[in-house]
Amino acid sequence: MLNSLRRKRWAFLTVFRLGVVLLCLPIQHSAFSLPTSHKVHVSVSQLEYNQKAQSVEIVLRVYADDFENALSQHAKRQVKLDPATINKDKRIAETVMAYLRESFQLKDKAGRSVRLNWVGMEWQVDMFWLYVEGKMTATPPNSNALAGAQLKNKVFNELFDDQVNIVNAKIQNKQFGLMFESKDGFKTIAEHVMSKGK
Amino acid sequence: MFKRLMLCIVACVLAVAPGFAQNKKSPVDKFRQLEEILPTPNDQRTASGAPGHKYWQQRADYVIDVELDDANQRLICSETVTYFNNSPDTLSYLWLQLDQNLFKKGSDADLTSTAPSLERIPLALAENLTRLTNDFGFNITAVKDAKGAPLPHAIVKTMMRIDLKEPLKPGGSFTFAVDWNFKIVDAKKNRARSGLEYFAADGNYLYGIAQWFPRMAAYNDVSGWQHKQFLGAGEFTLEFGNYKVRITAPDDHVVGATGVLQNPEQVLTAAQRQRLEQAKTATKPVFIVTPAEAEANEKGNKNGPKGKKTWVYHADNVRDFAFASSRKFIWDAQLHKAAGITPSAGTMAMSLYPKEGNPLWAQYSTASIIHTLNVYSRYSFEYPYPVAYSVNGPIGGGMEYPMMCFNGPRPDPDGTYSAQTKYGLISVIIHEVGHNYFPMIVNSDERQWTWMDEGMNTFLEYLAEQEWETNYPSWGGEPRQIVDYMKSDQADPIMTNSESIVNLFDNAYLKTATGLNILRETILGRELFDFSFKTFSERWKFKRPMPADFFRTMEDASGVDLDWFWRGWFYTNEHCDISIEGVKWFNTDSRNPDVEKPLAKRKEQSEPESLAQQRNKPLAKLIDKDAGLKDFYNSYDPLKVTEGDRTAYQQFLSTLSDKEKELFNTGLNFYVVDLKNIGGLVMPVIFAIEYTDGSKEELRIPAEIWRRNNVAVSKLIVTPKEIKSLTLDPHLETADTDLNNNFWPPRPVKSRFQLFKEQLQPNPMRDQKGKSPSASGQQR
Repeated sequence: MLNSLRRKRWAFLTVFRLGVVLLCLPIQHSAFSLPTSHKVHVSVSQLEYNQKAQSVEIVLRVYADDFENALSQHAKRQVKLDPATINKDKRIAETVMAYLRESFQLKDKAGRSVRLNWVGMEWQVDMFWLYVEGKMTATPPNSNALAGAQLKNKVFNELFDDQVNIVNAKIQNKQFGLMFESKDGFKTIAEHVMSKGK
Repeated sequence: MFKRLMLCIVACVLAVAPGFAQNKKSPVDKFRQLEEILPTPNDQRTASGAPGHKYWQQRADYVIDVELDDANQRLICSETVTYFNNSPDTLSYLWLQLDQNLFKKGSDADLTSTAPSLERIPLALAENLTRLTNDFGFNITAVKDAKGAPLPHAIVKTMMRIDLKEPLKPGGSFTFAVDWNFKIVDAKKNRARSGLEYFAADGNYLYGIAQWFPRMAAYNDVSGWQHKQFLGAGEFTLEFGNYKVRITAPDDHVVGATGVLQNPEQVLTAAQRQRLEQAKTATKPVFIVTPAEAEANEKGNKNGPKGKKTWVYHADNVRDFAFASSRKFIWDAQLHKAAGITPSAGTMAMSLYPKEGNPLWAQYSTASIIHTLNVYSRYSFEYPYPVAYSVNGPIGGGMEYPMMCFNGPRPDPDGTYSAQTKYGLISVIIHEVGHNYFPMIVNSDERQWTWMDEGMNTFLEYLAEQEWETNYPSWGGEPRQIVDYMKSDQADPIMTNSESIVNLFDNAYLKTATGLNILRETILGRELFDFSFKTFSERWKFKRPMPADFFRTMEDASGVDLDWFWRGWFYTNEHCDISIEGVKWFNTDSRNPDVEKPLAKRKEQSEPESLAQQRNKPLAKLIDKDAGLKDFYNSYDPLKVTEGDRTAYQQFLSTLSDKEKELFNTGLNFYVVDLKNIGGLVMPVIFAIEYTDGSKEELRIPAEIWRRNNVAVSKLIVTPKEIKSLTLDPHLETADTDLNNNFWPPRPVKSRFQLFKEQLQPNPMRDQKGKSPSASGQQR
């Protein structure tokens, strides 16, 4: 178990060195081993709009133990996520999407809900990276559909009252941040830019 | 000519660099000195960052008697405190901290918690919200002077003021006593740093006890009394002193504590004492209480009430005191002895854990303690205390006290565990044991500045982890791991009060640790950084440093002005995003006709033919029909080298010195690279240069390149070779948030999403090799 782990991490870092893969997101966090008893309850998501595919591409970073707990509570059965099978098991995809469609909701500028679809997930020591996408038409076609879209992020709010969900949306090479505390509902992405534009 | 060309290039650079010649520049000097922000140096704290010649701090000694009532999960206690006023001030009252009052219904922590979403409400919260009262918090039953006369006092939430009948003069001391009791909180349910854990399967409790006695608030030269109320995030600000603590517990409990056990003959069996002796020379942890003995002990509660035992612990020069007690404890120990270690007897590294912690705890806990002491001592100072404990439970993460810490991770009930649990456990033990250095010994003000202990400790933790095994999965430390947080516009500056930071972990822990790593690897280099960091640790051990003392010491010892770095990384939430805006290429005119004319010809020939030129080519031309229309100029080639050209060149050469001739023959290339600072944070500029001949070079430019213009600058690269490509920050050492603009010629970088999706595409070759696409998630 240790050996295979080690090999995988090594391969990961080598690719990095070659400069082929340049990830720009944190790699590891620890969910269990937080240095104070006040475990940090934070998720981080990145939204990007793919003009060519006319779809929104979303990456969510969640702590592994919180995620298993949330899925178990939501599905009303014990959900264990085994890194070896997470992308093979249809049932896992369904369980995750059932949870996310309720907790992570996106509406386009016109207020229409964007249906999010499962792409896959990735395990990293104590975190999971979740990949989902949704069709989203931009009007006009060469604009970025995320500008003015609305998002509600309630991930893990049912577990922790101090959960903070941070969302970064990239629009024309600029990052627009949203921060969701448990009291927050829908928020508009790049609102200040939108209102300035009008 | 050469000189003239140089001048021309310089002029070009100047023209590009300011960029805003038309508008008035907004005067943001990111390199201006910090003096205007830092406190003025004085006799207590010098401008070099060292304690001044009049540095002082208070001292408090404690003698405490505590009884653990296991049946009712209460502590009944009394203490005698001797407070030494080493300050130059006369004090008419004293302030104490009553941390347990945090858990009282109606505490400030309770009242100031903001409204949760009622759409989805956590069960534990619902339980807390619906409970209108609880019986947590201190019951103070007596506050009296040395003769037993009651002392007037006022309880102010999590603080208590004792009014003195006679003012306490500088150099004087005052002894008083407090009696109190309280109900121990369930650490997990109340999200406490200490408390109890109940094991339903065997009906036993495990206690990890801290913040359990009224302690002196700190009185210092910066804040006066540091009695900012305890709201839950800003931890502790404490004074050093000596402790004598008598802990009475059920006689089948094993009790560990801050300090050295004074009465082993009374509380340990002969076999246990002999095993402790063995541990002094062992090369592996020795069981003092074996797993089998612990399992037998935990059945003891079935037999009803029994006797009590009193464990006496003494600890010198500590800022706090914690203890752990349970009949479930397995206990192992191994002596750690470093060369020149202060307690000549060495440090006894010990672990206490219930059977639920195994197999992980027996294998990793004590080994992690010893590893921590080895590595941390190298980067700061020798561990000065005689013991170091790691205790399993009762909390989710980990929590630190002098000589003792509580750590949560455990394997699954079937004894198997995930990699995240294993590395989580080792990391949290390194982290919490490491807190002995920061803040237990380098005694920073945690209520004010979380980063000063958590950040420095997370930095050393990263170093220790990377010495545990190659590519240990540390939770932070590498600049590329903090990028996500840096680019978020929701981040607070590190220099924000502990209670006000939204994402404390990314901010105070990881951003600080990453900043120190960048200083160590990229800005100062390891040698300078390590010397400076050690200087800071040595200067301030057993003293109370403030942020300015750290900033100043690092500059004072390294000889490098780092004010720009503190300003950017600690005082703002700016991020690093440097882009290559463009590259201009110039080369020298050698004036040698045999070089320049063929070059010009090549250039002329390489120009594309226009469409009209192409179409006109086949048309019959008049001069071809009538040769009489041709003259000298029809055959003259202005780019052909003539003898006249060569003579002129020789004449020109004769006017040059040998050195100038040499320069002319090198055929230098001049590249002007235009850089833009998009993120705002100034950082060193690191280039990987690849030449057309395949050779490579690295150019490391200090951050001061931005000192006159922190938005746009141009860098001149002079080289005899031709550049094929440039890469900014090739080793990902500056936490640059956007790599798309780091290449010349431009090169798109795929997003994490796109990389993942590509990797999910069917790959029969990989499938045949028996590797699942999901398992390869780690391999990218």
